[in-house]
Amino acid sequence: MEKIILTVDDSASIRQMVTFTLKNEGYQVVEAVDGVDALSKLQQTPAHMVLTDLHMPNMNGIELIKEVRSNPDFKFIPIILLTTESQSDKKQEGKAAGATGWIVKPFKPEQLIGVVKKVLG
Amino acid sequence: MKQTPCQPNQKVIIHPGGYFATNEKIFISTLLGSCVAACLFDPVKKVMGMNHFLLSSETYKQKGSGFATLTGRYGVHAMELLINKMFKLGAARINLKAKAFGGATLREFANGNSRMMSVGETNMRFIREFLTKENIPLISEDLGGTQGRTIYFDWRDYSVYVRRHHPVDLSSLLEKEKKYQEGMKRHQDTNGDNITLWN
Repeated sequence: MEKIILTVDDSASIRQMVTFTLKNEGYQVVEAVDGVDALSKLQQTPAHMVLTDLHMPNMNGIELIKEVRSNPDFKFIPIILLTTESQSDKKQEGKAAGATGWIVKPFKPEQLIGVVKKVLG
Repeated sequence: MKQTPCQPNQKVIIHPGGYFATNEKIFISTLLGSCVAACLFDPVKKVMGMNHFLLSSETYKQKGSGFATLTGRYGVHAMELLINKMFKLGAARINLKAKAFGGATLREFANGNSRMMSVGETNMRFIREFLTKENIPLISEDLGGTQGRTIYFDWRDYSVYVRRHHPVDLSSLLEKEKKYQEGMKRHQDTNGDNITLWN
């Protein structure tokens, strides 16, 4: 079964970059422009994994994780934050919210694929 | 890339690889050769910012998505740092407007192979494509050519003043750009500690 990954970022360039990388590896990708859009897309197409930016309008990455974790249907879905932030207090905030992992940008495509394969098994 | 430090009410000069954003009364200036500077501003929230980046022409546009190439990824990152900093200062994506400068083809970087883009041309194409993709209007530009430029970004009305330089004045700039480009490649080669997994 083809794994579905939801990528969430308010930057169209970054969504394109992530989508291109994942599709090259055979994953199906659904895109969302912010946390609110991501919650809506998750209801329509239950994904196996979420890759989300931290800073976004309407609903940021941390708020999105908290919302997703509060829904029993998505409580255990892996969520990775992709962000320019590297401070340890920010990372701890992500971990406390329920993030599965944290990737600091810029990252190499093979790093992203490595994390996705490791998390999805 | 690093945010350039500053005190309020002064002119801030940014260097290759730097960026600066502010909601205060500050002029931002930089000297450009092959590099490109994006000057972004939100006239509603009164936030402005500038970056100064240099992308190599080695891989851009040789694959299906220019933004997914090594060069494209670095450019997207340079823009994201500036835009995120502006958001933290209160800017809103919907209000953003852009002006772009630089991307000259300087003698030392000129490439004799007509199938390859020069460094300046790569930078120029990247910034236009990025802004189009992000739906940020590029309302003014002075890109390309063979001359360096000093630019001044004015906080009062977001005007950008351009002073052109004759190529013979640019030897120190060329040296800076080369060092910056070499440092960027080293960073890309050694970057490996950016992943944390908890579960």
